[in-house]
Amino acid sequence: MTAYIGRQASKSRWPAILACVAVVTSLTVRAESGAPNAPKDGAIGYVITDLFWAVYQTPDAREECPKGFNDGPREQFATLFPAGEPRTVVATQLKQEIATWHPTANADSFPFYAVEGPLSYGLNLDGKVDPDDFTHPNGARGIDNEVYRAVGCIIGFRGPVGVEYIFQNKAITDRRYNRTMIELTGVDDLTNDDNVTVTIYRGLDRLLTDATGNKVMAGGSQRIDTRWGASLIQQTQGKIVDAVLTTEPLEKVLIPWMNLGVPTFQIIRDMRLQLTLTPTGAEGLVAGYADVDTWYRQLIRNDSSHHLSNGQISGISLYKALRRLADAYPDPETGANTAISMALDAKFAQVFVVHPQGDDVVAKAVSQ
Amino acid sequence: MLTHYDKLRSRSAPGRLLLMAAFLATVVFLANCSSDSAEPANSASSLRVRLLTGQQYSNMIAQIFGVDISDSVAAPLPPLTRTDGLLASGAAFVGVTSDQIQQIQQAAATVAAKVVDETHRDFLIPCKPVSSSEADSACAARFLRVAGRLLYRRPLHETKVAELAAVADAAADQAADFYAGLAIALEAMLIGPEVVFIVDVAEPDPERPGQQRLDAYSLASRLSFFLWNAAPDDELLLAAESGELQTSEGLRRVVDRMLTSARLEDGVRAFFDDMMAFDEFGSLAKDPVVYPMVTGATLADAREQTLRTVVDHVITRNQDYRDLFTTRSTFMSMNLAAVYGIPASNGWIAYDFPRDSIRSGLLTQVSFLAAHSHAVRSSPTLRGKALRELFLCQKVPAPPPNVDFSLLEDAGDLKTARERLKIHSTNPSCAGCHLITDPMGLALENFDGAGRYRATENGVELDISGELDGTLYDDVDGLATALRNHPKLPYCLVNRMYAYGTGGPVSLRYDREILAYFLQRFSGHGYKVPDLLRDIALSQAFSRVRAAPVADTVETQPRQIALSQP
Repeated sequence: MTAYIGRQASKSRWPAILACVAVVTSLTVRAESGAPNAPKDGAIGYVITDLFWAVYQTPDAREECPKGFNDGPREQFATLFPAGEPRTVVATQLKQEIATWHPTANADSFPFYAVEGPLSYGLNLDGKVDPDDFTHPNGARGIDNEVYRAVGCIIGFRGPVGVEYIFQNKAITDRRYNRTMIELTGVDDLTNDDNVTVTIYRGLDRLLTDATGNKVMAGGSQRIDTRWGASLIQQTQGKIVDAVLTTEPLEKVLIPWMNLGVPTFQIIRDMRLQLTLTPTGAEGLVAGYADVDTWYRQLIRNDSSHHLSNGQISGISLYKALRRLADAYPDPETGANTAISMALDAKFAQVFVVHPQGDDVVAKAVSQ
Repeated sequence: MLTHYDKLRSRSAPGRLLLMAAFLATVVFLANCSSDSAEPANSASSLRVRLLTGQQYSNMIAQIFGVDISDSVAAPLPPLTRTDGLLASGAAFVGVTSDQIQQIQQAAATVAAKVVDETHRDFLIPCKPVSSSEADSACAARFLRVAGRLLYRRPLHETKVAELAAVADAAADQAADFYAGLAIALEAMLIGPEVVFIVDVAEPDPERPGQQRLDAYSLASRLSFFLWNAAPDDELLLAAESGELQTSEGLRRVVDRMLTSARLEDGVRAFFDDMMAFDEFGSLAKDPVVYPMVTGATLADAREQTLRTVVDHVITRNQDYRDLFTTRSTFMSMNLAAVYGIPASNGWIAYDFPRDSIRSGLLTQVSFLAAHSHAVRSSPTLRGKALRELFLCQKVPAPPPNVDFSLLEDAGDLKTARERLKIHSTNPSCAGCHLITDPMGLALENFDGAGRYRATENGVELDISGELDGTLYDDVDGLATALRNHPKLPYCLVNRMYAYGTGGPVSLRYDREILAYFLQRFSGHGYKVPDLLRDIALSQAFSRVRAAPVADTVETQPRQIALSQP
């Protein structure tokens, strides 16, 4: 399986597009007048409210994990260091910590249960239907999602109570470093439009929530982070068919990530979106190839051993699996793949994207 | 579709005649007034004792001892009863219970402890004791004299200073701590009725033999609480001490200084907050299921938005007061923008609704729309009632005790409020009041109970036409303009502002002429609020004391209510 090298977003239309982008974009359904389903000034923004690694789950995991779930740090520790034997902290706990922070692709003695089922959420990233590709539950073939193969049988990655599942969302509502949003411009019709421009930004503001602070509401405002977030601004083209937006891939996208107050990020190559759009929100997939080492670094920086243990996530074993299952971007020298296909379940709430410094700053960021 | 407006237009010729007659009468009245612009010769106001409001208490502590000390203690004053449209007027008819005195004492102890603590003592106490572990009468007296003058809003008599210094000394001896002793004396001052009450003191008026006027310090307090919602500052007390305040020129200079002070904004905010009954925001809540985006923070911002709009309009820009009800200029926060369905940057930013927006004037701001609705739905009746009572000073009677709500509650398939409220028109005991509230409220039905725009209710297009006292309109702009041009609108402001300034409700028996005088000048000045404030503050009525009915009081010289002079 080879990596799909995405086309660069066309820049020839950029000046014309910029001319259409208002300083502030507005709600799809005009707030107090105007035709329904017609974005005001052809623009609508969405901000991420939920982001999980896409994991296809069946009852009791019988289909995808017939051998059961993987052991985590606690279980592996008990096997490696049986009770009653003389031991030191350095030779046991710290040894495992070191192995977690400096993992290798070399095999160990523990079995690793990768997903064995045929179904997975995700997209066909390379345009091929290979024998080892997944099939989408909706019947689409050629689904590339090897991250799911690696994490699907680890409790911490499974909803609704997996530790990753719980904390990732909480961090999105609590923090701003990870405030990712998109803005669609040049939209004639939110249901069908053969060419829209999609710009990715980081926002600066807290999410608009209800009184509980947990439910994100549509209609908030977000200022673009054009200072520290300038390098995150990217732009691509897309089309909307039956209210589903599909974008062209972006060569390399950095997604700010956060958990437990620790800022990290993911690097996704050939990243594209497939989102069902409504005037108040969007829902669907963020897919592409995750840089393996960055993916792993995000995991262990955002989860202490305590959290990894609770989720039965052995970083040591998972890293070996990620390297084994990596399916794109081979290293020119070693030939080993450095990226792994993946899909994220994403939900967005409609938001007004505020351009406090005008469009020139955005244009400059995109051009760079 | 035949709108309600069309129906009214076809049947309200008598109403138009009445309006025209009222208009002509107003013109004649104003013409008469303009030929005689002098203040009525016998104008005067009542001598009163008023309880400080919570905000006034906080402002007083903040301005004497600092904001951090003020913020460290909740104002201990009890809630007031709204009287003739104002909480401030209710302050003249309230006492304090023993429980409330206990709260005042606790707040006083907290403030006093803060003033003398190591963080504050060096810059709040103007001297250092000979020994911090012993009494120092001279230093204690020096502090108590300075602080007491600001707290009592007049100089303390030296016997009072000595009395308080003795308290400080005794406590210092007992605690072997000068500052602990001083705190006890300060606490004693802070619980004094002269501090928590604004006490008017009268003296013979040299210009009107046999009559009385406020003494200079009472006038200083009345001016200060009127224009600044706070106690007089040092300069104002100096003007009282020197006698400057009792001269026309001196009073004019002082009032002009106060009107150009940054503190004027505090005073204007406090007045409009009171007039618009914004204290209700303290208990206002919306059903989070029906209006999930409306949180406590949203409602706090709604209140703030309107106050910022008012201050900007009437003070910063010095615009016609009536245009507040049609202006599209306001301020926006992110919380509120979500309700208005528009984008906003962070913080408060100036915002102009576009010309084609349905939002124009205070009636279309979230504060009015949300405050005068139910928790789960809008209420044309509550909105119409509020419009009349808050801005036109009219009184809408409460529903009769035997009102039958079942017909309304079992309204079946009726989709809109207009259809549901028609039920009231079939009941004579309801119709009388609903006819004077509902037409105005129905014009605001494009806004739900949280103030969000809606084109329809239950899928039915809304008919928002109506009538305000003979003026027909077919949309919100029409209602706003009708209210803006309503002759009662400026009259109501004059009424409320005079009551607010003089510390109690106006008297229809005594104040009719002075209110007409202020109204005529308000109109002549283009309905500019600073001019009205100035006219009231400089008027004879503001500083002269009306003789109390003989049956109500026993005259003394000087006359004073309830409390002894400090």
